Amino acid sequence: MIKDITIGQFFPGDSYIHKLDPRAKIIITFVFIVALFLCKNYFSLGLLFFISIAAIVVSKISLRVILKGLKMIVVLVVFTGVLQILYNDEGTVLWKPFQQLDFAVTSGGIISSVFIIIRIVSLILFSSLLTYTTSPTMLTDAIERLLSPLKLFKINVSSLAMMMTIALRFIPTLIEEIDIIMSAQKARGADLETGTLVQRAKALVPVFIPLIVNSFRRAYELAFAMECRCYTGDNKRTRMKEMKLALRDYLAFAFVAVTVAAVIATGFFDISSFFIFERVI
Amino acid sequence: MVILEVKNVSYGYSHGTPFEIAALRDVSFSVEKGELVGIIGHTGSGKSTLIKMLNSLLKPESGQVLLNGKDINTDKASIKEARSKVGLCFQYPEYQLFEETCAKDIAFGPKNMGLSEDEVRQRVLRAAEFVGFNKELLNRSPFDLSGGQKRRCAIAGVMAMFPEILVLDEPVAGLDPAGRRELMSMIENYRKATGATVMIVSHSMDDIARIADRILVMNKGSLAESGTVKEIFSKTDKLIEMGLSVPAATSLINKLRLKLPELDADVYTTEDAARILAAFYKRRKEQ
Ligand SMILES: Nc1ncnc2c1ncn2[C@@H]1O[C@H](COP(=O)(O)OP(=O)(O)OP(=O)(O)O)[C@@H](O)[C@H]1O
Ligand SMILES: [Mg+2]
Repeated sequence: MIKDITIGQFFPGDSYIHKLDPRAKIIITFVFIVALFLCKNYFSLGLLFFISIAAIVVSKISLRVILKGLKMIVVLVVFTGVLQILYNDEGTVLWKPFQQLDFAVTSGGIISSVFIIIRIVSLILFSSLLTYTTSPTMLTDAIERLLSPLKLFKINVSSLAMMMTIALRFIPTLIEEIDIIMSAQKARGADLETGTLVQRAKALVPVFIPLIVNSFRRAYELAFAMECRCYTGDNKRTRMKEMKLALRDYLAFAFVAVTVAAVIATGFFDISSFFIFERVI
Repeated sequence: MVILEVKNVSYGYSHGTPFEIAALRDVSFSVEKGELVGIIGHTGSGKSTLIKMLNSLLKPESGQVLLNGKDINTDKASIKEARSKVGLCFQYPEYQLFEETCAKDIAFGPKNMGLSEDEVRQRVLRAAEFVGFNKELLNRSPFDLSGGQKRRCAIAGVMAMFPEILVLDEPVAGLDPAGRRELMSMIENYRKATGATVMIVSHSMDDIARIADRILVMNKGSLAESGTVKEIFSKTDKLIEMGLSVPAATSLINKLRLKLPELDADVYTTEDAARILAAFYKRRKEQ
């Protein structure tokens, strides 16, 4: 069901990770993602993968939620994995299914395919951990703060942040609404699940028209409600909650710095001799 | 004859997340053909979840829903049959209108049932008549109607399928008193004309007391009570405990009875209350 989407959802809690300053969390997530792309061997990738798993354990997010989130990207992962095997012909040939074709499964292909898969999974784990442990309002608040230097270029950062907050806020509402409308049309005998692609696309018209109409209606109502409460969208609003970096945030930064240093360092030193295979990627 | 039977149905939302909730717990009841069943319950007690079970929009996690003795969740055909025989009209159905004209929107259901064009047209006209829509309204865009008109258009869309069981989730919520009365009598007319079984979810004890043959009371996902209007509304304390109340007329008579115990206790509608009080005054005068 459409409701099963967990990516981007927030799961309240009071773990170390939940308590981190959202700005720190965004920066750290960003740094880890960059680091994932700097990884050149299994040592550094393994380190980051291990950290992502450890962070999940610390956050106390249930394994089921995580797996559900990963289920969404299974197709992507399998697809890239297969592509890697197809296009990489380094190493020894393990299996050559078609004698005529210039195609073989090689050890290099498998090694790099596994490498890519771990990289994508870690990427998803890091980024979903950010949204799982940070409420949407905190997240946009933090983004607003991080983007505030852009004010120098006359960009209205608080409007941007407000738009982002509203968009995030309405994703669950829209999902719920799609659910309701789909149910209502199904109750009138609409068949949304079978038929050719064209038939199914057509069958969605009765779902999307009310959805769009309702969205406009809601946008108007929200705009009126905001104006009634004197929202003008300028930059001068103060905050109810001031963000302040605490000791735990500095600790986290220090930890990240050390990890990234390790990732970069292992890239310089040729430690691949520890791990039988030459340059994997 | 029993037309619908709900057997030990349980259902929960959001399994595996911190928001997990048991919306229905072991609910069982049956509905006789032609009956008008009222469903009441506090907000979040599982009424809307329950009615979504009745045409397989949600499938019970355990238990069965039997329509004319057959489990509706057996296969695709049985689900399709349930969708056409059990007409479901959701809370705030006006937000589901989508066609260019009301007539086309009302025709959506019958068309999906695969009926001939002629039959569809006839059904649209009959359904429009039930909700008091004339030709002019039928050719208007549903988006240009007033809230109450939209509501009636949406309900006509379900009536046009002429389901054996018409299920309405809070059909009169948010309407003015005249609109409520009007819509309620439209539903009663539909029932009289077609002999259909009707189930109505409502927060208005007065409406339910006036029209229901039998009442189901939901409380925290369980079926707390089931019985006639008299059986349910004579248990004032129990209802209040569940966040519900008794009809205004019952409440008035109950208060009067503290001083005047000779008053008749079984009063559930305003008309009854008026009658009893008139009789009481007449007796007083004669004494
Ligand atoms: N799609 C959903 N996802 C998660 N939880 C839900 C969903 N729909 C309902 N619930 C929960 O299930 C419970 C029963 O909801 P339901 O909508 O059946 O109540 P209701 O009796 O119809 O209430 P109301 O009178 O307010 O319409 C509520 O606690 C609600 O929060
Ligand atoms: Mg409801």
